[in-house]
Amino acid sequence: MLAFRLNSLEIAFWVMVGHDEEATGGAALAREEEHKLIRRAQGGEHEAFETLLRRHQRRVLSLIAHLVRQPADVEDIAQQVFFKVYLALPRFDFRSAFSTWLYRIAVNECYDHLRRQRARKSPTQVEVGVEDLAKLAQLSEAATQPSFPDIARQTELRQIVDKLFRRLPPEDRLMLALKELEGFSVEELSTLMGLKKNTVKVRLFRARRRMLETYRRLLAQASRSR
Amino acid sequence: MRCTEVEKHLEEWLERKESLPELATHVAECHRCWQLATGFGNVQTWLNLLRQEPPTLDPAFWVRLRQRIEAASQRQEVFWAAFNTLAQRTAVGLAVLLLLLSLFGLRQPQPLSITELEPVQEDLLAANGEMTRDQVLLSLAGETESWP
Repeated sequence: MLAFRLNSLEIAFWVMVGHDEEATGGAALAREEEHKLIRRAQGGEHEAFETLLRRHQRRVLSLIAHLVRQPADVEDIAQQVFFKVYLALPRFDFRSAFSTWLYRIAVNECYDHLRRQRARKSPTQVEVGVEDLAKLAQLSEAATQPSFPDIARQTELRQIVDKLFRRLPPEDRLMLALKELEGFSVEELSTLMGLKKNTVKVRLFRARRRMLETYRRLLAQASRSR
Repeated sequence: MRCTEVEKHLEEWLERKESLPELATHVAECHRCWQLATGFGNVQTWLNLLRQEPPTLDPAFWVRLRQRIEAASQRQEVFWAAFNTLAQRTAVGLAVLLLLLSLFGLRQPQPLSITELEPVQEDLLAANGEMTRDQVLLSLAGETESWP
């Protein structure tokens, strides 16, 4: 009888709190469930560890793919990231969200990879032609028009932008990829990278300016050599 | 709004263009800021092209990860098998620390004695093995006299 009355009260409570609260409650439950998984993984349960990573794998892979931009390297880096997560998991203290902590490891790994890559070969090896730059200029105009370039043209333009993007220093690529491709806000970037919001803004500003300058410089070089 | 302020708020403006009408007004009037804002807008458009679906993982990925983790765990287990209790680990740690301290931390450099630099006459040495200023001068004078 008492159990029934408590259940009725519970139902009445949930009806009263409404939809938003339900969503918040759902998020809290998901968080609680994740914490349980983390504790089990910290205790050495491999299944729990794998379940935990599978939940975040899509975002981690997207992050790596956008930062590294070489399909062949994505899986190797993901492997390294998840292995590092395994090694560091016993020290995870629940002070930050698990996702933030995981993305930080992924970002650091990608950054190290980009720096190593930069040390191995010169960025000038990626050639950008004058026609490529002209197409890029047209894209900016086309973006405002109703007829955006078709798929084939988009693929071509993507390759040109990719070449330009790869010419940037690793720090700039990191900032731009996280902001524009992964959709992190300035605030999220500040938490993720452990930087002040203003520092994030300054770094983003510099990265954008550098990409623009690289484009203009290449355009000027190309028109001089013509 | 000044040009420096535009630079400061450009990031917010790129996120939500409608949020800063003052900035939009300034950009429309100032050629330099207009160029910058348009350029940054272009960069944003270009970068949008780089968006892609995340790749799918090879099914063997998780098997490889598990094998790697197991290999690492085994290595750890073998290493720690000899010191399987916390007390033993602490004792070993302290012993290593003491050894290192005795080797590097506690060893002080010995001050150089003058006798190590140059053999001198026994009678010129003071009681503590070092020479006074006068004794040094006397010994030098003796060396000069004995020169050919």
